[in-house]
Amino acid sequence: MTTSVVKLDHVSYYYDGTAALRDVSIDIKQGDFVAIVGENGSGKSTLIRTILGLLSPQAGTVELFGRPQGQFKDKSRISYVSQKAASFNSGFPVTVEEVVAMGRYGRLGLFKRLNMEDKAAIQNALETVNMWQYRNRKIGSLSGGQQQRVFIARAIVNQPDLLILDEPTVGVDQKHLRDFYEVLHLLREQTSCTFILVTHDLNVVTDLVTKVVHLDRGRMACNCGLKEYSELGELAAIKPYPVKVLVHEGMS
Amino acid sequence: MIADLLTYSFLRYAFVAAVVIGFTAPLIGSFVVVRRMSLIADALSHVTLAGISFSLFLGQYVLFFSDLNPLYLGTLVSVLAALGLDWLRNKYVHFQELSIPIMMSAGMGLSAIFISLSRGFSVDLSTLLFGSISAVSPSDIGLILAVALITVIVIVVFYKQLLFLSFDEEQAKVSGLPSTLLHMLFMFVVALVIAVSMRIVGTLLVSSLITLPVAAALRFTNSFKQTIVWAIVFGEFATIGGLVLAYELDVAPGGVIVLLAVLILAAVMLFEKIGSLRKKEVLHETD
Ligand SMILES: Nc1ncnc2c1ncn2[C@@H]1O[C@H](COP(=O)(O)OP(=O)(O)O)[C@@H](O)[C@H]1O
Ligand SMILES: [Mg+2]
Repeated sequence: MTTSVVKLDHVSYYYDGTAALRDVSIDIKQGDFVAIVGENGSGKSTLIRTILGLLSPQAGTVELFGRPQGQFKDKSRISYVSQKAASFNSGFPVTVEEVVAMGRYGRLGLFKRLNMEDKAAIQNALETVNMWQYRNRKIGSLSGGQQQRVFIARAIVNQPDLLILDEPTVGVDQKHLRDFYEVLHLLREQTSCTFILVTHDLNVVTDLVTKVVHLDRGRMACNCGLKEYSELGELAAIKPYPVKVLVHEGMS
Repeated sequence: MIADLLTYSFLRYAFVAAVVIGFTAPLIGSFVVVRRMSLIADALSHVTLAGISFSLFLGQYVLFFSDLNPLYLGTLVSVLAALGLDWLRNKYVHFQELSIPIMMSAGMGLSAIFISLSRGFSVDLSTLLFGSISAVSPSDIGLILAVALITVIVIVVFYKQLLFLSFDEEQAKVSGLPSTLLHMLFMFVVALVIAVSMRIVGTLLVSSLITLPVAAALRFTNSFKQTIVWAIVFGEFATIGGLVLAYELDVAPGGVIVLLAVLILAAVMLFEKIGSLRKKEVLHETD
């Protein structure tokens, strides 16, 4: 049996007494590609932030790689691209390369400087997202789509075992959307990383997704395979997001 | 002035203080500015003044304090206030900036009371508010050097962590940085630097020395390291130049130092303008 990467057991989270997550249980295995869908305000980001340990649930438990959230210390195994990545202070004087280097900081000790291995990893990550030629540019001088790719480079520079992306394509224009999904496909092919992707568009990732979690006002309305999800018809309690015919007949 | 430097020890003290502060203030200031905490510098300097005037006031009654450098108590109060500021910010989650006027008014109110209570007891208001060349004592120099050393050590050791925390607090937390601890350490250093800087530029102008050189550097730098280096270059230029001019013109150094910093900022903006005009010309020519 493959090990659990993320395991939520009857998790509830309340903001000042208002429930944002209600009794959510999920078991994510190594190599899974989980799509989290649901309307705005349904608790997707709250779920992500609970997994990351940014929020502590008032009820239930979170386990990462088989350890309780609080005891899990090897944070460099997990990377996160936040929903608000593009809303950082765009005047901040850091170069693309400095931003990606931050992805290595978590594992670097005090005093230590970036070594050759770190630098190679940074170059590699930037080349993966096709941004190496922009390495000396100020992050704020790039377009939203380019910035997002830099944040993805920062997320993959550690070769994480779990990559969490919260609506990473918000604010990315159509033209660059394809680049983004290409990177996602590339990562999927090249690594054995587990993915959690919050998205509004299942269609572009149909060939990647192994599991769909649909949140409805904080409750888990569906936690199933993509095929089952697409077959949830009129009878379902929720209105599933549209999924085109898929079932692995070779996407373009 | 060089001959005078050799002759008068007070000038040497002021000079050393200016060089060290011209370096330390923009160094920590680079982080203060990018974390959008510029105004905190103002709040802390006013509180430092309260500490200093309280020490002067106590000095009239308690022998211990009349021998004590008032800057010590000022520095202590500044550090306490920096930690209190965080507590206040958490009290007003939705109006965090309110913590600044609250702290500032408290500091100024207390200063006003203690200064008026110790009137006639060696309190020179202008020195406190705008700095003075003759006010820097050997024990001030000791404190200034100690603070500079602490600042450099903290920044060298925690440079990466502080940069990460400043740029993206949430990500820093996710990657396991002890963000609260780092933040408190940072505030501690900021409080120290502000307290000792006021010796040379005075309470009202401390925040300018922390922010203006950085503001100028920000206009044209791409990387954070460049920003720090240029901010320090500008900071040194302003403090050393300002001190020399203040001595020659016999005015408060704080005013001249800060005006020089403003001029640097103006010059940078002017160069920027010229640069962008040139670019346009080049574009036209290639059309
Ligand atoms: N910091 C917060 N304080 C109070 N309520 C919040 C906070 N963040 C989110 N919420 C509320 O929790 C619910 C879930 O939000 P969120 O997890 O951001 O949803 P989603 O990411 O699916 O849009 C929403 O009703 C939202 O208003
Ligand atoms: Mg969200």
